[in-house]
Amino acid sequence: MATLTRPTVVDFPPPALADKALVQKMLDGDQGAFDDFCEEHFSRLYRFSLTRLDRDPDLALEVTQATIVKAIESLENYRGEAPLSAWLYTICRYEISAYYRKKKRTPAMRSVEDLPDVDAALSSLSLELANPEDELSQKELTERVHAALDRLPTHYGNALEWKYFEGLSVVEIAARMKTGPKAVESLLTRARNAFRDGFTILATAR
Amino acid sequence: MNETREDDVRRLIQRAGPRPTLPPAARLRLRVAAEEAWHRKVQNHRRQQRRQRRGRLVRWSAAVATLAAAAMLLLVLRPTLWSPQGDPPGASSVLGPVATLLSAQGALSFEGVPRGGATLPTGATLSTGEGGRAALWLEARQAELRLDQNSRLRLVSPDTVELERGALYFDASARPLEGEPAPAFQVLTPWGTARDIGTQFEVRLQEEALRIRVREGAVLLELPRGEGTHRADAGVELTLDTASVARGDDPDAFVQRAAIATHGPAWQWVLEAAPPFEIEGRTLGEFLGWLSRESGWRLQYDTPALGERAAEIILHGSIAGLSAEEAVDVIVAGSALSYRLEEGVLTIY
Repeated sequence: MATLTRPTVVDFPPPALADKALVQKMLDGDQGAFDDFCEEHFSRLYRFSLTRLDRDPDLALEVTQATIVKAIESLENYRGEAPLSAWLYTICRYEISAYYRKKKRTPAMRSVEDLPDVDAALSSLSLELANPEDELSQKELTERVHAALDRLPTHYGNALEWKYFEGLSVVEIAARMKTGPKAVESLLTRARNAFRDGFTILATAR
Repeated sequence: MNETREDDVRRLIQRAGPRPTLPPAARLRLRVAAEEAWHRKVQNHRRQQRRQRRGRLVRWSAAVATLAAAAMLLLVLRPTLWSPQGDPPGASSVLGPVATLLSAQGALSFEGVPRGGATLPTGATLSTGEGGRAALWLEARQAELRLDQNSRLRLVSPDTVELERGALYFDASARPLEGEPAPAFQVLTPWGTARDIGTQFEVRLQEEALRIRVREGAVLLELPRGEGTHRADAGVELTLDTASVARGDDPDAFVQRAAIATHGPAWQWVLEAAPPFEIEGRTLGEFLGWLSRESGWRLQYDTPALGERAAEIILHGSIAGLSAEEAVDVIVAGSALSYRLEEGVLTIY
């Protein structure tokens, strides 16, 4: 039986408010805010597109570019009620659907992330799950791990990959992030919790 | 989180492998598109804000004018970041960008550049790794600079760069400046300064030599401490034996001069590092002019009428992934013309 628990760590300010402030700064012409926007969202949008476009990198790049341009052109429409990434993913889904309509094709595979319940649940719930590898194929596992990482703030996802894939120490990660080891330990704890919550939602969705 | 739960996360991430990364050239493309859209957006946003402020000002002024009181009105207008013509916000330097990144391939890194930025200010450094190449547009000089793999370059000022390792290629022929003579451009190296007095040349730092090759125009090599100046014109290579200079020998005695071809395999990296030429909608004449300049070929038409015809043939499609010879083969044949390439001369007939 699934157990629902509330997350025990709250980031301040809430992510959507920080995103709203970022968007406002971009509209005011703040170069730093624009740079942060590019750094935070380019890669994840590209991967989001890649998963849904048969892993065609050229096509994914076209769709990503169209998404970013459309998003910037309608920045004032972002109300900050959901994270900026969620708003961008919505625009991206539209661009992908438009591509398939134009080509009169249907997508080969529907991403589990796009199930309405999953999309809504990814932000806050936590479920207990044992041995997800037993239930998922390697491809499904890879897709869901990557999707869960991409749902996190960029520095969370990067820190987890640096620690568990590249094998960096806390000190080495702290040097990359230009911060202290204690801050990195605290960040890794939050990142692991958030990743685990997100992954279990994706892993249990069908 | 206890160790078991951390092990879960470690196992999942390791088993899934790394996430696909966005290649540098793709990131650059997105950045350029995003920056254009953002500049337009900010301009529109500011125009709207100015309109709203003017509207409030008119209403406020009307209200004041109707008042009988002699109160003083203090109006503070917020300064705008941009000029009325709508210049975009500059890069991180107060002096503005020295160079703009036109294209990039493979491994690249920057220092002193805004994150993800495509404009490079004074003091910025660009490094390429194995297989990495880059092309920059130099604003002040209105010329192009290309960096070969395993190279490192620092932008000292709008008309000076320092080559710390590897090789660069300078090309001022793409868009010749009109009117006043162009400001001289110089490349600083540990062994001397190369100063351009014309259009296309390569500077390369080898293990025990500084080599300058001139394709078009001329370059002056100035040795440090006034120890001599050497000029190289088109088709000439200067090589300074830096091992001898490092031993304390007179550098002027260790500059060798040789004749070189201005086309061929030694210049291949220059073409490979060039920003891609999109043929869609361009004329055959433009394509042949671009290809000849990039390959070091001399272009000639069998008759003047053929040159006029080349200016009227519009091309469609793409030559991405083709070598220079493959591209001219496909394009010229597709235009119902023929060509021959002999000794660096491309003749269309």
